[in-house]
Amino acid sequence: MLAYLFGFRKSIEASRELRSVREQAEVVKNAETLKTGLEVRLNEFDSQPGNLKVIEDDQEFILTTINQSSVKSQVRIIEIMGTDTQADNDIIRNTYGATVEGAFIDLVNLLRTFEEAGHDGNIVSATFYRFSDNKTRKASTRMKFYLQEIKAL
Amino acid sequence: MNLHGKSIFQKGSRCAGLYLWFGNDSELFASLVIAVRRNEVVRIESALFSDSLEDIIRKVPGNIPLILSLDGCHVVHRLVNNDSADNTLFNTLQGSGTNDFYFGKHEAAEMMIVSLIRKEEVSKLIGLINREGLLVFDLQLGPFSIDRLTGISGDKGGIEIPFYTLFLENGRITHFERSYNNKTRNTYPVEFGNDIISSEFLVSLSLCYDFFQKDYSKDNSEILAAQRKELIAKRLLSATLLPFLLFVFILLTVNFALLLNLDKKNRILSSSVTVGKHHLIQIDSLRKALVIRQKIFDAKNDLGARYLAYFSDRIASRVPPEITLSTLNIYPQKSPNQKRNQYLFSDGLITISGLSGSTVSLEKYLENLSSFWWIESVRITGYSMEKDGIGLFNLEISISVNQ
Repeated sequence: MLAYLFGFRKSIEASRELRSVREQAEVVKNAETLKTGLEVRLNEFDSQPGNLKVIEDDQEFILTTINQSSVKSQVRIIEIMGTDTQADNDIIRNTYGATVEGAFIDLVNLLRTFEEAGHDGNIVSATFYRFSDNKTRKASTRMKFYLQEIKAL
Repeated sequence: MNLHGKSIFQKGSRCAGLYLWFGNDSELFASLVIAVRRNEVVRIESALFSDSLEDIIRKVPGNIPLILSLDGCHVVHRLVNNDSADNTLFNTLQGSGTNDFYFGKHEAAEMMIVSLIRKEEVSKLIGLINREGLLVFDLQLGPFSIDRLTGISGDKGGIEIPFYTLFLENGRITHFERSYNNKTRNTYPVEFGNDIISSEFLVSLSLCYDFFQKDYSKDNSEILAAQRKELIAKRLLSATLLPFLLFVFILLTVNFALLLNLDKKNRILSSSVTVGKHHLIQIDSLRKALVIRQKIFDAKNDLGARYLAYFSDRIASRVPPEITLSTLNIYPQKSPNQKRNQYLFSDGLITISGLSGSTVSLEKYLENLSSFWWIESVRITGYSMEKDGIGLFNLEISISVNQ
């Protein structure tokens, strides 16, 4: 036991440490090649289509997309939400959305327009619901949708 | 005289025979033989003569059985009849108790040789030997074990050895003559196997022969029992514990050398790693960035995120006339936390609530929904009948587009 505590344990630990240091030394030795490879892969990711943003402002993108859609005269924008930013593990999630009123079929068409817009953000949620105006007693269909854009910190 | 080294031996492989003759005026005659037994043949490893007890004891190895024979002025020998041996023992020294003596018996041809020495003399001598780190395995009195030597025979009917003339018949002593002065003629060369030894060593050699042949299990001497036990313990220690400790020590030494080597390699590699540390940091950052990019790429390529309009359209298209939908929630928000402004959504889940005129139409709607390939399961999470007979229902649909 004493022999283990004073002798062999230290050797085992030294051997483990050496293995780890040897791996690091190997990485250092091939650092240039590794770095080049990693940079090439990063560039491949960065040059993917969809990373090029046409409109910088999220709210402006929603407004433009609705106003340029085929159902622009059939739907009414009720609300455009501000962008909420969440940072988690070096990833930023920008979430924004809008509430639109119209016929169900027009709202579905509008949703498809957003899906096909080629923007960085994906549609991550959509809720259709019936809304009754307390003043006019008029019922309508509304759609609240969220877009989420994921970026590196 | 020609002695044979070969005989029938029972135990032991190495021993020391020490014959001590104490003369008047404290003069000492000591002869030591260290013998080994290999392949049933006894060979003399070393033989030594001295007149100093301390000197000769130092020459005895510590871990082999020491067979001691005492003789001289303190020892009395009597040749008696076999049946009167015990009485002789009591009557040898009148006025003394038997407990005061250490005695030895040796079977002669037709009689018995009884030898006596005071126990205090024995204790004094054994104490002296013990202090030098030696243990006495057997203690004999006189030179009479000489008849153990195979092939020994007397010229002119007697063997002359220092201080004695022994008369043998059929390998057994018949009688002996003792002299307190060592005569020169008693010292002569004797052929032993391929070697020539002096007759001074015959008694010591015979003690070794005696050790190899004798059965000690019947020997019940108190003085020697303690010595033997201690010797066995000592030999056990040197045979097991010491080799084990030596083995551990060797292992530790090897381990230490290994540790030094590992440490040296470690230091060399560590210095090269330190030099290239900025490379490691850069590579770590690049790897981290790649992982993040991959996550983002996966999120963007999430097929489910592209079919929200399709799901809405298909689900609405299969609604029977008796059913009115009030909400259709595709990938609903998970328990929204307004304070933390966290937007998390339930991927692969659609919730529907609505009104149904009858349970039959609701069942039909469920069947319609189940027929879609992208719907994994449809579950009713709530149903309640209102007063006007219309049922409020909640459905939960699990979807999968990665088929």
